[in-house]
Amino acid sequence: MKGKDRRLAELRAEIPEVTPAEALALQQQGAVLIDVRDQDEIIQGSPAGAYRLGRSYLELRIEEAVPDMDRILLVLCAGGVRSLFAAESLKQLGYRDVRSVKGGFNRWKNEGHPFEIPRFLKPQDRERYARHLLMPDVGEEGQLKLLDSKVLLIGAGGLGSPAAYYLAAAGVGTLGLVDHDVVDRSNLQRQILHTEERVGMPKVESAKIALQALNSGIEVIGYQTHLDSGNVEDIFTGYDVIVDGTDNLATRYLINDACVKLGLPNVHAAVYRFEGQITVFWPAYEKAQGGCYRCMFPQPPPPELAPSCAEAGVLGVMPGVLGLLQAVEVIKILLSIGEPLVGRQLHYDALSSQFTLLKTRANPQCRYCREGAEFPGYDDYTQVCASNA
Amino acid sequence: MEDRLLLRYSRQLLLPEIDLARQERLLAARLLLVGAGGLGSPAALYLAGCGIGQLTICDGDTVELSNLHRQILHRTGDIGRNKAESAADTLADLNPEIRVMALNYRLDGASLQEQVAMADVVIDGSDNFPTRYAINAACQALSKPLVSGAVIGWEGQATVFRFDETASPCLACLYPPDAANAAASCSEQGILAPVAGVIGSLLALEALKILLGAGDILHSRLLRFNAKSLQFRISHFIPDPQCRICRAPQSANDLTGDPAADRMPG
Ligand SMILES: [Zn+2]
Ligand SMILES: [Zn+2]
Repeated sequence: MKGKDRRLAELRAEIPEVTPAEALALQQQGAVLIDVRDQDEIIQGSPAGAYRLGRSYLELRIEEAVPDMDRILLVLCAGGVRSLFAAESLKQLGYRDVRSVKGGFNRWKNEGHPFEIPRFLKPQDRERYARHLLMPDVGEEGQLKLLDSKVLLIGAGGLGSPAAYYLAAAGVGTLGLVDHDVVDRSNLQRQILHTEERVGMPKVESAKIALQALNSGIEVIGYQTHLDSGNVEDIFTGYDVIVDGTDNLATRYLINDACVKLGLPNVHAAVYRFEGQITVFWPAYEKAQGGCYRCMFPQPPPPELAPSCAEAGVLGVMPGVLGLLQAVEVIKILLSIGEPLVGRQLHYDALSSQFTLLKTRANPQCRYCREGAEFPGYDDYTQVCASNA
Repeated sequence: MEDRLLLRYSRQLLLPEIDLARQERLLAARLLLVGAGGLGSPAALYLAGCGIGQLTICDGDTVELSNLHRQILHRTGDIGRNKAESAADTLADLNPEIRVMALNYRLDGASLQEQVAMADVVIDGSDNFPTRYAINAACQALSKPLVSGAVIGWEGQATVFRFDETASPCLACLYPPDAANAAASCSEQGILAPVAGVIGSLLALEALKILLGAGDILHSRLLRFNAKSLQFRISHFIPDPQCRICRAPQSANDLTGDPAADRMPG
């Protein structure tokens, strides 16, 4: 005991102490509050906005969390003792101004300062998503964000199959699927969500079976319906990202218009034979400028110029690649990591192995997404392909 | 071709690149996939879907919960099962018309040579350098095309070694064993789930292009993918005149040999 008391006296002489009220004021001015308590203590509550790095990993994690050695660090534990030891260690790493919060979290809470109940992954999820947790920019916080997210996929077919599979595997908490079709044997060469045994079953139901067998920790909501102007907003509302995996031109316009109106990112891909393209239409995105689908194609083409209604040839792996790229873009958007394909379009020609990134531009005259545009309403286009081509 | 197969493959038969003769070629093809993990999952599903006649999948590992964030061939209920066997069941559910052979052990030495010799194309979806070098050496010695990929974090890469054509560089030309030795083992690194999917499906696509004889194959070229910017870059590489695998005259012992096994961490 003597050694501890002597050491504490030395630390108190060396490490400045601040009251919780002073710490809160400093935190609001930009100082970093670090809660060094263990997870079983933190789970009862921790100061709002505190960094929870854990005492045992503190020295290993602090430099990534706070690269600036000149920022004020405020160290907090339960009663104000462990924080002194931790503070000294941080000083030795080179942080110039490290202070300890007197009375720790007990006093912080008693004095009525703001705190929150932080969330942690369940032990089983920690294992399931271990490879995401190893990524510094995803980590536990990112994984929790994915689990809180809601993504809606239009079409449980060629593009929707891989996108839904990987978003479910990655732990996107709620996946909505819109598809009115039933599984046909000719789908199985590309629609990997479905199986021979489920031929004839509604696709959304078949998809739900596949996704929950892979990951029962997420929710899958099926909408076995045609998207139209009457239901599109009801279905879209509450989702964070929309994934357009439809091959129907009329539905594509509807998805675009609803996304513009609701401010939702629309992750759009299309495949034609051995070519594919992907972009993100998201006029509401602040960091990059890009338009909407109607900026490129204001109206569906007249029937004589429209693509044929007859099905085009497709090798399954082509929508596979594009649907997977859609899943990548969705996760980037959900986690705010990297640059989403806003204002850019990736074109892939599989036969020549060429990937080309093209810039896309918002049309300042676009009726739907131009600045201050009043929503012009939905169009229910009935037929936008040339039926007897 | 029987009607039920015509129906199953009808959408790809509409492609000018896949006529009945080429579909027959796929149905007669034998593909060896090493690894039923992150890269092997999408590759195997798409190859099975389009009717590769015989898929041989080998993996000595068992399914773990931490695999399921990207290895979509397996289900939560498959935890503890051998990966190749779990994969074979999933593929049979998708397409019962093809033959899937599950090898529930790690291929090496004679077993690796035997399987490579029977394959038309080999896909390397393994996750460690010793196995990669062993597959590379076997494919080079037996003149079999090898499609190879790797993923780490937000990045992935893919390439093809056309050992069935003359003077192809090999994996050891691209990554001399010493440099690979220094590279981090991917088993301890994070991987963003769909990045493995993107690369795995590109491997399937390259394998199909080889089998169909269609398009420009990623051979002697390394494709690099960065998910954060969604950029794909392609760089060329050439045979290393000093390469111990594809340049030096080979003794029988070297064929299965892994030039770096003694120096490489697993
Ligand atoms: Zn627009
Ligand atoms: Zn070589």
